[in-house]
Amino acid sequence: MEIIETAIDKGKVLALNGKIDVVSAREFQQKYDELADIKTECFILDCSEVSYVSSAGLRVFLLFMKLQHKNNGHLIVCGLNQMVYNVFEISGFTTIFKFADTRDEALALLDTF
Amino acid sequence: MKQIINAIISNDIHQIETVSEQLVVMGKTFALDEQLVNTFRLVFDELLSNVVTHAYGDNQVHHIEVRAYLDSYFIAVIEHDGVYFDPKNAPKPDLYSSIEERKIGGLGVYLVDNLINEVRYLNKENKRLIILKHKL
Repeated sequence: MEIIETAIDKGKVLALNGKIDVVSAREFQQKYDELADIKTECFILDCSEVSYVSSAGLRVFLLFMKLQHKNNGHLIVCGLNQMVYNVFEISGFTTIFKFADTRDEALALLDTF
Repeated sequence: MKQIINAIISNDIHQIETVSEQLVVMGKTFALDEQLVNTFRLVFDELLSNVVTHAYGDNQVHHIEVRAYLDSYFIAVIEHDGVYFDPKNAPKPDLYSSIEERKIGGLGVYLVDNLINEVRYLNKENKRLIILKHKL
């Protein structure tokens, strides 16, 4: 899985790509491990190019959320397709994550924090 | 009812991709909705990774067979010779805890149950079957 990292004023955008399954979730976890020790005020996880996320991938989303919660930071997930949003909803993630439709909306939302 | 997929993979997590690719081909061939195909891919990722990770205690190579059929339903069978997974003993997913306390276990099987109309786990004498049935 290719993860494109872009610096923004308040932190980082991580653009994820393709399927996040049991194999590619390991690469997503590696990215988490790289970033976990650096305190980052805001993460945007851009999923516009993500086709589906299985539970192995959800686990890493949760790790990012826990990290930001611990550091009093922010996390916005944007660009989920309907099916992936549905998976987040079934998993009880919609009550703990913040969402935006597009990256631009996510960036605008960050400005309100 | 047409048989669309007949794949035999070994208990190696990287081989799940073979099934995923065949589901994509099935979707293209029968012009299925892309998000539905991705739902099936997700479901096979959950079920096959569970079999590969939990069904075998030895270090031997085992074969897992996947067959899928299509008419007005998508019907699929996963057949393996590992340990039976009894859904009654599946850990309950944690859907409501706070962020700090939230645990991730049990989500995979729970997702499969919620995404597919009918899921059955059968324990036969010499084989274990997981049967999926989903209205198209």
